[in-house]
Amino acid sequence: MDTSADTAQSHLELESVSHWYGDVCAVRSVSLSVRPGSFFTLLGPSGCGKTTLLRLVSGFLNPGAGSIRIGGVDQAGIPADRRRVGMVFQDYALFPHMTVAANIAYGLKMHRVPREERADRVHAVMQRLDIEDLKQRYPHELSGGQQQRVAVGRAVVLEPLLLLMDEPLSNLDAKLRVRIRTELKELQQRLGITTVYVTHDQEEALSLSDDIAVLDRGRLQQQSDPVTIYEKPVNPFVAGFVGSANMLHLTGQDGERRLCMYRPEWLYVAPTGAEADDPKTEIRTGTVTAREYFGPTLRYRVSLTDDAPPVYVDAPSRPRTGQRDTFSPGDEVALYIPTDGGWEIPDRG
Amino acid sequence: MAADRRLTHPHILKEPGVAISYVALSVFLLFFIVGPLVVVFLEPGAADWARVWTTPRWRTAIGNTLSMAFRSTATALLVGLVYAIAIERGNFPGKRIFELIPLLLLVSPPFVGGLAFIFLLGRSGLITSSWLGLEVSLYGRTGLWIAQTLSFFPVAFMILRSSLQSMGGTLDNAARGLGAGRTRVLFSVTIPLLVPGMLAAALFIGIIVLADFANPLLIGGRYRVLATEVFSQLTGWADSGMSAALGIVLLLPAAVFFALQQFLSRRSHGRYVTVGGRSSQLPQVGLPAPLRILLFLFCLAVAAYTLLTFFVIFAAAVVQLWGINYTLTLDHVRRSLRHWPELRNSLVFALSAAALCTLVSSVSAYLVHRCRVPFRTGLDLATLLPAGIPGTLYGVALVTSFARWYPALNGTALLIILAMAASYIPVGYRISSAALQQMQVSLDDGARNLGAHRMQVFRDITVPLTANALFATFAYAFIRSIGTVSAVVFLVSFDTMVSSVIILNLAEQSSWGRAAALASMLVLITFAGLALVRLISGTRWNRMFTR
Repeated sequence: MDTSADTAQSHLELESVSHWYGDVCAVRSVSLSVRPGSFFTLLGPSGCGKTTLLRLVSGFLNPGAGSIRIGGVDQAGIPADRRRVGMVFQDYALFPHMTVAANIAYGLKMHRVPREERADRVHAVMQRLDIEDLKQRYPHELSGGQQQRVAVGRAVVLEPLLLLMDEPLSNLDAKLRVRIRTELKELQQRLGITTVYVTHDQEEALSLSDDIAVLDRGRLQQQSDPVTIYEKPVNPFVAGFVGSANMLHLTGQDGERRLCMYRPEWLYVAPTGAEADDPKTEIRTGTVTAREYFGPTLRYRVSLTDDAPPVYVDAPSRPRTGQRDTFSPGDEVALYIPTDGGWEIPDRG
Repeated sequence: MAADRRLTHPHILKEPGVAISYVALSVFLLFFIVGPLVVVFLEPGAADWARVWTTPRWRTAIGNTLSMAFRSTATALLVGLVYAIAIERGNFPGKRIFELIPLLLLVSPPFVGGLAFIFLLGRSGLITSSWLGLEVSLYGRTGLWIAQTLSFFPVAFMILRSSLQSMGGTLDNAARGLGAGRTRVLFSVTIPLLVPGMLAAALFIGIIVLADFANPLLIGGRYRVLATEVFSQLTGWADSGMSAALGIVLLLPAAVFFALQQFLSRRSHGRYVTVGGRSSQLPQVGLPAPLRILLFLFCLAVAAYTLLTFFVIFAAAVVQLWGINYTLTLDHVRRSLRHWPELRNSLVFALSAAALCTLVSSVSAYLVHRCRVPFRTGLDLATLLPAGIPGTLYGVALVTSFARWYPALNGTALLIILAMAASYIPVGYRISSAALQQMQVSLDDGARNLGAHRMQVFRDITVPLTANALFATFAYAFIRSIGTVSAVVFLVSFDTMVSSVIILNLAEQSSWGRAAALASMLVLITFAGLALVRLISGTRWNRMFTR
């Protein structure tokens, strides 16, 4: 199989796409642009419209308004079976009554690819995905990870313009999920195929993606690279959905009060009384009210002396130097806030 | 049928395969099911309606019909309930045999029970006359009541048994743990939880009793009910208006039962179904020994009668004259072979009907549950409709409507096959729907995403994965069609006579030996079909027949 660059690396564009189920609006005027060859993730809580978007792109649904272009071609009126969009389903949807080889060959058969070419292409894909040994097996005889590779193989053998994945890791156990995640990313890079991935897991989204679109209640909240999404969320929803966010009021050097977001690992706590005097750090006193142990890190809940909501602070559970101690609930601590390290959320919602 | 978001698909009717099957199915349902029923509704004139209410004979028949519907349903339900509790909670040996026996009765042709009743409890019956030396006639109300109870209790047994099985032992054990005695558990936990099952079973049996044709014909005597009056008005008096009017009167209670049944099955999901996490494998709470012995004896009696049912039919075929002369002979068997043309008709028609029923029911289930076609609810209802229509009314409807539309078809095989198939389409539809609902929608989507159009998905994915359901539908339709009487009794002609009707004719002429010989053959064919299905697919029959 030769996935030549012009077909595999296609541009996906959504322009003001909306979709209604009856009176319920599932997707509201979403505009997106997916760069050719990139790994793009639709991230959001359940019911945010991400799966609907995927079904719109794959042609199982028709948008109520707006347009979808793949490689510059408007997809309106092109039915699902003629879209050249590969899909990997949440439950993989492998045909249980067909062998691995037959599953992969099915699409080629439907596209009337001659028998000999079919065999060659199936073989090439299986080689590429390292599943040749599984050729004659049935889906129920495969492990979760193997099933997933077959599902990917079945989709890419047709040399689609676009590969869609609907939460393909959600059926795997936690340990396997991390391994397959790495595999998936490598695979995508090897195939170089433009991929749209749907998940509600922020960690998955951050680790896999070139770009992320965060959705909530059918609306696009933010589209950017993972670092920007995590460090510079445009609104409180994105800030809260992709991680924990502390909102702190700071007074700048110009005397203006600003509301800034701090991730828990951007702050640190130390015993009171020995505060270093650093103009770039603001120090507040608080009391530890809870401590959660995660293994590598510890998370403290610190109540500041005023009535502000508690602040969450992450610290290494075994500090490399003896400078920082661990604290217990009830301890009084100094909270160090790097004044130029916070992020001022532009849209307060 | 909740609106499933995932079904939404544009251009559905632009796909030629879907459009063609949609149109074909709609035409079929319209012309052969909905249409004839509309015609039969318009058939009776005002005069016919006036006569229905003023003629004492009809008033009595209406009263008798309703009275039997309540009596026989109540007793069949009671027998089925006790039998089910005995099998599931009695914990006595021979369970597998005891549970098979009602199933045999359930799949047998409808005249088996009535015929056996005559041989066992009739004027010169084996039990009444030979064993007890009684000179009684049970024909009429009492006989019909007994016969219907014994014919239809298996329906209640099957439904309640699956309720009991799904209940598991957890609740019983919980009640025991809370201090209830064994008998108390049965009456305060087990039986109350069966109430929805009993209601479902009652409605199911009610419809069957209303429509029962063979039993009243064979043993009703002068106790007239609507199902047989519909028949005698049309064939005896050629009064299609009166026949249709009586059929419609019969339909009313059946339609109410049917509507209730639909309502209950759609609503009651979850209520009464026991609340909790994963079901556990706790052993069931046993019943006290005296109660178990009573239950065992009850089962034994019912099972013995049922086995006798089959025994006397086989036996009556090989003796000179049942009840009078028990000398062995092969005369009846030999003479019944002259009815080979009718037997062949039965086989051919039943096989065709089974194929038609499988096709229509599976396509309808696919369109309704997998494609967003227009008027899905209408399609769903039209497919389920025959389940609420008494066979005799449907027969009258076919005869009267085709006499108007296309008289040349009357008496042909086509109408007979249609009548047979239509009656079992609802069952097939439910079997296919259940199979489809167990199949992930993503498999369809997956195939479509790979470039298959709808009909290719149906052929490559749906059919292979629901093969068991299709096979079960085919077998069920075949087994029931080959013995059916009520729907086809109006439709047969000299060339298209079927053996089930011949058997009733022979019985009416008191040619017991030949009737029994022919009935034995049908019973054996039925059993062979059942065995074949078990062998091939291992389908859970007990589940299938209670849908």
